[in-house]
Amino acid sequence: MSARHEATRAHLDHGPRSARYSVLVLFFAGWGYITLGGYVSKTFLADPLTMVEEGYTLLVRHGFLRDIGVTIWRVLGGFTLAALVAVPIGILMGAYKPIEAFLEPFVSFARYLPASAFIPLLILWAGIGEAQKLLVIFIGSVFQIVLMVATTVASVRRDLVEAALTLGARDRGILGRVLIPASAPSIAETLRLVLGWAWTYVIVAELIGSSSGIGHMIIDSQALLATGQIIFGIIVIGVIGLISDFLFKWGNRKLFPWSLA
Amino acid sequence: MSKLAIEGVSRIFPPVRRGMPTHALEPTTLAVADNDFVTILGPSGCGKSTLLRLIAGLDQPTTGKILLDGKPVSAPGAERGMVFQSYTLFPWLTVADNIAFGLREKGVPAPQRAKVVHEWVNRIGLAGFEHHHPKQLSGGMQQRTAIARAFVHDPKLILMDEPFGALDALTREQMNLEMLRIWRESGKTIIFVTHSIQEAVFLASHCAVLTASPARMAEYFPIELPFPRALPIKTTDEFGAYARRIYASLGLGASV
Repeated sequence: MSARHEATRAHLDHGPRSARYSVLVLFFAGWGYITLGGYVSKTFLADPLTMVEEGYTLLVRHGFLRDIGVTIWRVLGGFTLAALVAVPIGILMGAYKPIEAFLEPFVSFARYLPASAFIPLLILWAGIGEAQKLLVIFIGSVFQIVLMVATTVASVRRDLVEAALTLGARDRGILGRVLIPASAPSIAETLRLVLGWAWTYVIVAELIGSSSGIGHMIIDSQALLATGQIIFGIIVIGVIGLISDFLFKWGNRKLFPWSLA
Repeated sequence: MSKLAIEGVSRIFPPVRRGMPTHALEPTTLAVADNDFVTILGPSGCGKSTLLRLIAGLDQPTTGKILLDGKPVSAPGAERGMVFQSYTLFPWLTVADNIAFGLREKGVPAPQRAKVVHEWVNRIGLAGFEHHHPKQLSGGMQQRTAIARAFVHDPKLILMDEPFGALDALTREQMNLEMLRIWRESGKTIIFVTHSIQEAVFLASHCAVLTASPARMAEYFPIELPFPRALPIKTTDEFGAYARRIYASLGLGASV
């Protein structure tokens, strides 16, 4: 459903390229104006030039690339674990009513448990090592994926299932040859969305108890009042998010060309 | 013994939100012989699609029973192929893979599948489109593919639910012609639901007329026009006589 949405929208927003990026330009111009113009104290908000300079220092002198690598690894690790557990469960929930009736109440409840609130508990259980970071992301993602995948699978066109039944398909055929391929594009779209949320969880986990990662750098910079570094960290996260989003969309287009209207 | 026996079959849907139960189909009895082409004609709400879904096993009758070759029908199965009104090709599969779906489900090995699919692609005039996806095809081509998909694993009975309802008039006539050819070549028993009188008479060896409220069979009679049939047969007196009979039994005979 969402993949289809994207496709229709792509047809509508054929605005000129300049218009598409003007908000971004305006944002940086406004930021530069209030900081370089001296309307805001440098202590609280660094100007864009300082940000770039501090970012460069971070990368070259303080090994920030390693932090970026660590954070990416954590996100992908926790997210992959969550997807591996959640996608099969979601598919089974969507396909079989009894399984849904059994699991749905718990998953719906668990979905509202904020992953960040688990961090103190997870630190007690798993320390401040990698296991704790992965668990935060896992808890934050797994229930969301289960429910969204279950909804997707349950809403596969009924007439496609009936057509398969009249072609002699039994339970396994319906699941493997109709429900899963029919929902694959939407499942991929779900994963793309949840990966975005996983980035929030990892940073929160790194802010609270960590000795490496982008979040750790940000909290360290706060102690030094290096707002330029903080903003650089935030922008790096944004750019990585944008790239992963782009890769996901590109992959979905390659994998599921039939789903684009 | 008839191929398909429908004995006192009715379907009552339970009431929705304190309303009345819906009598979708009053008790209906019908015997279909082997190699028959039965058209079921009626206005919307006459229960013709319900009847077809009951025969397919996609729904259960409230009363009565349905026997195929003497065996009661209880669930959907590959021996009763179905072509739906809505386009139900699997959008992620190519034309060839759609046609082969039932064969694969049956466990037919790939080389043999390819051979049968190739044969059917040619028979429905879609050579060169084997690797297209459904969304790349016109409505007529999609329904041809759906027909091949239903025929290809050699079912005993083919059920067709207004398969050409969404096509333009000329494409529809073309498809009727092809349908007759495929039926005569394959020697299958076909039950074909339609709301077009022309289609109902042109295709049929037997025609059942259903009325809405009460949803029951008003008439069941043979169409004794000679085979092979060509489209201009629709302009003959014999054809017109059948059409008039159907208008009358649907209560559409009066002048204004």
